[in-house]
Amino acid sequence: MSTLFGSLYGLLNPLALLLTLPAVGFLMYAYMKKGQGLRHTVASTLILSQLKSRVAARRTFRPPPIFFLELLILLLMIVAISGLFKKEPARHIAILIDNSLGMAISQSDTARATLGSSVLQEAVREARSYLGGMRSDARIKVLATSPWMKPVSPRTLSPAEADFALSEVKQAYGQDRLEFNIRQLFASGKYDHVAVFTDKRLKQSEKGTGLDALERVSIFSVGGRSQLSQERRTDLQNIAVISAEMKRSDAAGDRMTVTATATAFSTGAAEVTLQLREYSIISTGGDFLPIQTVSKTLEPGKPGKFVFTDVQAVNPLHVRIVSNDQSRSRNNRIALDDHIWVAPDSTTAEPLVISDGSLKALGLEQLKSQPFKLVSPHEYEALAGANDHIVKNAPMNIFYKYSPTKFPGSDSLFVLPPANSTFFQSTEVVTRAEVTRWLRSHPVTTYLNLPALSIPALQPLVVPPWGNDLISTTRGSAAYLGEKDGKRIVVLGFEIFPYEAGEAPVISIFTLNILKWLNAETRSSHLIPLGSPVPEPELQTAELFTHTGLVSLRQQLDSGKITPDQPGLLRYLAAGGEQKTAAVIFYDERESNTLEPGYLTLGSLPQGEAPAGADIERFGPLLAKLLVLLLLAHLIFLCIQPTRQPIGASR
Amino acid sequence: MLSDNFNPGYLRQLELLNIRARRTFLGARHGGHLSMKRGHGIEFSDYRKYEPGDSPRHIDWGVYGRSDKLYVKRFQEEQALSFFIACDGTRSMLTPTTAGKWEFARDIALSLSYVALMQHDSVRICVPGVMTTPAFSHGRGIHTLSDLLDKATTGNRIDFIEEFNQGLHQVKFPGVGVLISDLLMPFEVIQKAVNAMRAKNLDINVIQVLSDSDLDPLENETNVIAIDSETGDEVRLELSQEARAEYSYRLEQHNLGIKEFLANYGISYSLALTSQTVQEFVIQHLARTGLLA
Repeated sequence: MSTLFGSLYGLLNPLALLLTLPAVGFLMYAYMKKGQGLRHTVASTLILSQLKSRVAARRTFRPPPIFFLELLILLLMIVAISGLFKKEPARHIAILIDNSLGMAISQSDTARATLGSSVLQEAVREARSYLGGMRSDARIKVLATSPWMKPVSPRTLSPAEADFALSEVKQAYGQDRLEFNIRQLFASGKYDHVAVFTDKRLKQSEKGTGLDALERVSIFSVGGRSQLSQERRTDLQNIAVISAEMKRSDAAGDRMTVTATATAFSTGAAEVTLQLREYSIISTGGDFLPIQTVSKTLEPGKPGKFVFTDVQAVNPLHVRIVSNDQSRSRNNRIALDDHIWVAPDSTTAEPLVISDGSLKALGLEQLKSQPFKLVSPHEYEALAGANDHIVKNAPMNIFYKYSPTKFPGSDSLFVLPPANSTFFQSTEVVTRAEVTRWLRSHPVTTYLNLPALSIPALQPLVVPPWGNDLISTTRGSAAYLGEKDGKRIVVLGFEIFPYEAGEAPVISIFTLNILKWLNAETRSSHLIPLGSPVPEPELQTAELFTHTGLVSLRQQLDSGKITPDQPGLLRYLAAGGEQKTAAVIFYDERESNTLEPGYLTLGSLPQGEAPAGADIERFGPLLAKLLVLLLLAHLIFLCIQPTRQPIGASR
Repeated sequence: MLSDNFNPGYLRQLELLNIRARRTFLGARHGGHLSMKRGHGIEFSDYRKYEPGDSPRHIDWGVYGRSDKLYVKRFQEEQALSFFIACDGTRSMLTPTTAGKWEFARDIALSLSYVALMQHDSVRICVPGVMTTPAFSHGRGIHTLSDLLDKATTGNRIDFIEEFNQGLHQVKFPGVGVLISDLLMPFEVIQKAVNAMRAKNLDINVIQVLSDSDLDPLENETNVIAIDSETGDEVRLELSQEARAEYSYRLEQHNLGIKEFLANYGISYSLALTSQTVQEFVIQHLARTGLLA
C-alpha cells in the first residue's frame, strides 16, 4: 500500500500487475504486425513493386491513435483485475501512551525522574509529532496505559484537541499491559488504528500473523531502553525497592522487624542505603520521621534484604532509598520505585499453599501482603502427619488440584480438587458453562457481577450435605462453601489462578473475598496491590497519603469502588464505622529493570466491527463502468472509420 | 460443359460471326478461308496465258474477244484455318478466385472456338503448363473443348514461356493465334510469347483480361504485404490515395507499352474487363478489333 493525496491505495491482487508487461507487449506486437500490414495474395506484384510508397521495413513503432485507446482499455482491465482500492486514512484513532513506571526513566545525566526529562515526555513529544501529520477530521482518543487503561478525555478529540490533551498524561505507577490494551481497543470496534508510544520494542509474531496487526497498529518506540545497546547500559541503571514486610520480633513483644528487599539493576555492584521512616498523621501533621538506615552492597541483578530491627510500629512505616551523592543518580534512573509502604500489621503464621506448582505460577506473589508458604502435596502429608506447627498454625490452606488424605484442620480453599477425591465429588470437565444462580448477600460474592464471570472449563461439583451451592451454572455447580468440622471450606470447580489482580477484576475480587472469608484477610486488608480494588463494601471515607502528598479519593468513593492508582497509605472508614489503614504497593521487575528492553508482541488482532467512517473504496465498479464507456468509444471509432472508395481505372 | 454465358441467344450470335484473318494462309483442307493455294476454288484470282493442256472451260472468252489472245482464269482455293488459342491459366489468372479472370478468359476462348468451329476451322486451345487440346474442326468439338477446359488444373506455377512454346509447337500450320492473358508479367515474357507466335507465322491477336482487383488492388487496405501469387514475392505497401493513383498510372503505362509493342507488328490488342460480360466483349468489342466479323 502507498499513500497518495492523503489516502492509502493498495491492490487486492498485486500479482495481476504481472500481466501488464506481456499484455502491453502483445498489443504492441499486434500493432507492429498490423502496421506491417495484413498479408494479401495478389495476382501480380509487377506493378505494385514499382510504387514509390513501398515500405522496405518498418523500423519505428508508430501506432495509430486507436492503439492508445486500446492500450488504455487494457491497462484499466489489468488494474480492475488487480483490485485497486483506496483506504481512507484511519479516522478513528486511539493514541495509547505508555505511562507505566518504566517510562519514568530519567534520560538526563543530572536530573532525576521529573517531567521534562523522562521517557514519557519523549513519548508525548512523539505523539504530538504524530498528531501533526493527521487529517483534521480524524477522531482521536488519547489513552494512558497505567495503572489501567483509561482515556484522558471522555470524548473523542480532534488532532488539535488531542495535542492539548496529551498534557494531561501523567506518569503513573503500574504495568503497561500493552498487548492486552491494544486488543481491548480493537475489540471495542471503535478504532481502526492504534498508535502506541512506549519504551518497548516491537517483536513480530512468530506465527506470521502480525502483518494485519502491523497495518492497524503503529508502534513508536522511544527512550534509550528501546534502543538499548551495550554502550548505553551503564546509563540506564536502576535500583528498586521490591518489597517490605513487617513481622513481630517475638511472639510476645511489641517490637517489629521490618525486612525490605531491594535490587540493583546495574552493571556492577551498587552501594544502596535504605531508610525506614514512620509516617505520622497526628503528631507530625502528615510527615515522615526517620527511624533507621541500613546500607548494603548489592550484587547486580540480585535482590538484597535490608533488615530493620527493633522497630516500634505504631504508625505506618515507609522505606525509601536514600543517597547523599547526586552523582549516584546515574545509577538509579527511576525514582518511583525507590520507596515502598509497610503495612502496620502482619500475621505470624503463613497460609499454606499446597501445590506442585509455584507461587509465581499461581500469581500469589502479587499478593505482597500475604507471604504464602508453598509446600508440595507430599510435603504437606508429611507435615500434617507429623502435626507440624506449619500445618497446625497455618491460618488457612489453599489446596490447588489436590485433596489431602485427612481433612484439614484450618479454613481451606480447594481449587479443582481431583475427581477421585475422598472428600469431594465432581463429574467430568465440561465447557461453556454460564452462571445461572449464585449465593447472594454472602461476603464471598460481595462486589461481584457473577454473570460476567467467564468459566471456559468447569469441573461440575457435587454439593455435599454440609455445603451450600455458591455458584450454579448451566452445566452444574461451579462452587460451593460451607462449614465442616468447624472449619470454613470453599470448593471451586473452575480455575481462579493465576491471580491477575486488575487484569481479571471479577476473579480477583472473588479470590480476595474467598481469602478474606477464610480468615486470610490480614494482608488483603492491610496491603493492597496497586490497581486492585479495595475489597471493602460501602466505604464511607477514603484518602490516600502518598510520599508526595494527600490524594483525594472522593470521586472514586462516589462511584462506589476505590481502586488506588498509586502507592500510598490508604485510610478509609469501612461500613460499621471501623477506621482502617492499608498500604497500597506496587512492584514489577519488568518496569524497574531498566537494563532489559521490553518487547511488545503483536499477533492477530480482533477485528471487531468496523467503526463508522472506516471505509475501503474498491475501484472495481468504477473501472468496470469506465471500461464499458471506453469499449463503446472503441466500437464507435471502428464504425466511423471511413470506407475508402477505390480509384477506378479507366475502362 | 459450356457455362451459362453460352445461352442459345449468344450461340446464335456467335454463329453469325466469322473469324477474320488479316492474311491468307496455307490450309490443310478446304475451309472457309482463302488459301494461299491457287487452284480450283471459286474465288477468281487473276489471268495467265493459255498453255496447251489448260481446260478450255477456264478460258476467259471475253478477254479473247477483245484482245484476240487466249487467257485462262486463275482462282484462289479456300482452305480451313488453323486457330490457336493460348489461354493463360497460371495463378495470376485465378487470383483472387472471386475475380473470375480465368473463367472470363476461358469463355472468350470458347466463344472464339465456337465461331471457328462453325466455320469448320481447326481449333486448338493451349493452357500453358496444363494442357494443349487436340485440334477440333467440327461444331461438336466445342463441348469437348469445354469439358477439357473445365477439367484443366489451372493455377500452377510454371515457366510460362517454356510451357507456352511446348503448346505452340503443336501448331503445324500458320493461322490465327490468340493469346488470352492478364499480361501481368514482365514485358520480356510477353515479348517472347508474341515472338514465338510470330515465328509460327500466326495472325496474332492479344486479349488482355483484367479484373477489378487488378485495376484497384487491395481495396480498403492501407498497410499491406502484397504477395505475388506466382512468384511469392512480398511487397510491403502503404496504399494511400496517391499510391493508388500511381498504381493506376503505372498499370496504364504497362498496358500502353504492350500495346505499342504489339502495334509495331500489326498485332491487335484488346482489353477485356471482367466487369463486362463475355457476350459484350465478344460481340461488340472483338468485332470492332477485326478479329470477328
